[in-house]
Amino acid sequence: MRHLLSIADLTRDDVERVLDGARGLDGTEPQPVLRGRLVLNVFYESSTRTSSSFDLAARRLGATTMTLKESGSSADKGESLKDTVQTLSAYGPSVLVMRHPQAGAPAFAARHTDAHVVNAGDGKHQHPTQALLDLYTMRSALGRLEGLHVAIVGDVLHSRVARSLVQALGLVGAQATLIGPPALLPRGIEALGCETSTEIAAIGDADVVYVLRMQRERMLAGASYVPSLREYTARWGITPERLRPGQKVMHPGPINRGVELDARVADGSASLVLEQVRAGLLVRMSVLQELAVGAARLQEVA
Amino acid sequence: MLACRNGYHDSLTVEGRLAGGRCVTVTVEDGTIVRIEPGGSGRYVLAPAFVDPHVHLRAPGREDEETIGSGTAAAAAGGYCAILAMPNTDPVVDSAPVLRGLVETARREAVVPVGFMAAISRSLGGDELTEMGELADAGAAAFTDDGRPVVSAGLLRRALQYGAVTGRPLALHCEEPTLSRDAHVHEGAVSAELGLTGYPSVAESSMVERDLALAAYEGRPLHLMHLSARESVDALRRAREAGVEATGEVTPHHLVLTDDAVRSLDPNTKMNPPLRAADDRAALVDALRDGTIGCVATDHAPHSREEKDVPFEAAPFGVTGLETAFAALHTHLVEPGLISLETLLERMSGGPARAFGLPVPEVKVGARANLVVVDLEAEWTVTEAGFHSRSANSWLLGERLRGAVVQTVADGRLVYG
Repeated sequence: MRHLLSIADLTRDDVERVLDGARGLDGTEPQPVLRGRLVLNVFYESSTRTSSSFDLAARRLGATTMTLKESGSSADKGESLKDTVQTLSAYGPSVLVMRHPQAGAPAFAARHTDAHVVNAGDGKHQHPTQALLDLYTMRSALGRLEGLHVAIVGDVLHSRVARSLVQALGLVGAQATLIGPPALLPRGIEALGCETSTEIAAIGDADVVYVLRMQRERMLAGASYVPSLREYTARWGITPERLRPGQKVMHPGPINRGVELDARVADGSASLVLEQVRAGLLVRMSVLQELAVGAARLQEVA
Repeated sequence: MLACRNGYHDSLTVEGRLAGGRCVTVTVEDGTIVRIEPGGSGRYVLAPAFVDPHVHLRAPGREDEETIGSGTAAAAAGGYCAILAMPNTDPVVDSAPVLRGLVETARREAVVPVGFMAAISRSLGGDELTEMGELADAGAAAFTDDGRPVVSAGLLRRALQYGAVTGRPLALHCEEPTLSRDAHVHEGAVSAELGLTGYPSVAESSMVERDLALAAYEGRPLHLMHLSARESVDALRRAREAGVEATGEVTPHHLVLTDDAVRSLDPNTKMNPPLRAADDRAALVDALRDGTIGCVATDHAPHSREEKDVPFEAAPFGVTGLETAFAALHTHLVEPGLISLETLLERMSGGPARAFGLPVPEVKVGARANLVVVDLEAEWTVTEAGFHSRSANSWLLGERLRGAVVQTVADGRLVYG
């Protein structure tokens, strides 16, 4: 892999390699394969878990890291993304991790740098490392991916997580159903190879219920994707009563407790939320290794 | 109504094969066709020159992107003998002094004759009519708020009514803004996959239906700009059959591309209205063939390199088109047999001229010489360096095309070749 920009660019082999790499890192002291290398985290959008997870992953592998947040950077002074990327590239980073509010920004950056670029979330488009860590979590908890049925519930329209995950599930032979209010299910999304439903009862068949964050701004005047948060929670909120025994629940965070996810579920035994966070570190280490060192080099080191 | 650089008129001869197959030599004296004789080289096709009813010349205000001089040089290279410029400049062409200033500049700079459209509403604000009578007297070729729809049905009705005074057509950009808010691309499988806010077809077609209903009620003519959706074409066809005096235009990019091209996230695939689905494209080609849509319009929209060298979502809408329109449509519509060469030549020339009441270019004795000579065999690659336009935001960069303009005669002068 040269870059990790979209799940759509990956093959099943790529996915398996990253997941196997993450498993190999689980419970072991990692090799400092990135010693002497620079990993730049450039975040044009707020993030806690993704930026800390990338930072920690890079440090664990021995890299020097630097994290830039939009506020206080040259972007505030009107510098173009092209100039920012070229400027940062002059430090000779091995990997550039980028989160940006606009779809395609990491791909744009990849055209203006020699570094490997990792998309850490671009607009409503893609969040590939989230999808990979979700697959890792599902495989660890349920023992398989092939044939799994995952119900993705909530604001699909604005979710890069949902788009990446549907594609990733498709790659590994799992099935996805998207469930939510009609205006939050994007028209034409079935072309990605998933089913859609506006009925919460459609989670019934799923092995995993994957809950998306419901953002308050979606209810603002002029948007009206749903009439109110209260109505959203009543119809699509995930409560213990709506779950079947044995179903697992996942959420990319941050959770709006009591809105899309009942606190009893978030803290209950069905929840894999903290496993997702732990998987995030392992999978991001695996991705950084894969990109910066490459499969061949990895074998030599081993 | 059309303004151009003053100067001598050429005396020249132009040879070529007319669309009917006859080889002729046309003699032009003092800018007028005086003789058409049989014989001469049949290597190239000779036809009435093109008319583009939809060009953004960016003057005044953004002369870094285009000027009247550079835009009309691009038009000459594209085979055009007349173009109409949009009023969404800075300042907006909404008063006679601004319009007169442009006409003055065109008399110094314009390589081919330019007509300037004036705004329907002051500052394109959509609230009050411009002084359309005075603007028409000052030479406004037509009226449009292009770039924006006339949201108020009441204001559009008043503009239609006042058309009886100005005698000039209204050209409308049809978009229901509450359905296209924050949108970047056609709403469909591609927008769903890319996570880009969708601009549904109904945002255009619902406004087309409303505008046609008003035109029918007032019994006034109407021109619909840059149609993109199948439903809009259906509405136009029905209205014309019902006797509404409505005309329509379509751009080369909507005739050739679909939203599939947006998967590249290349900012040169971002335009308003957006590239739509395959069935929309097919409906546009059908409508161009059967004459429901009588005009090809480039919607030539130059943007600076730095404005387009950004991620897709940050990029402005619009692409250039004057210098590639014929070659693109010859390559992608005529060669695959989707429309005939004769139809394409008519929709690029007589169709738009009639829709806007401009002189219809003709190859006939006594007519002003407005001629284009095209080489259908020539193959060329579209490159940034090849443009006369100051901007290079073409959706065809790097593409190989078949068919090239060899010579353009506009208002009796050899302006290209």
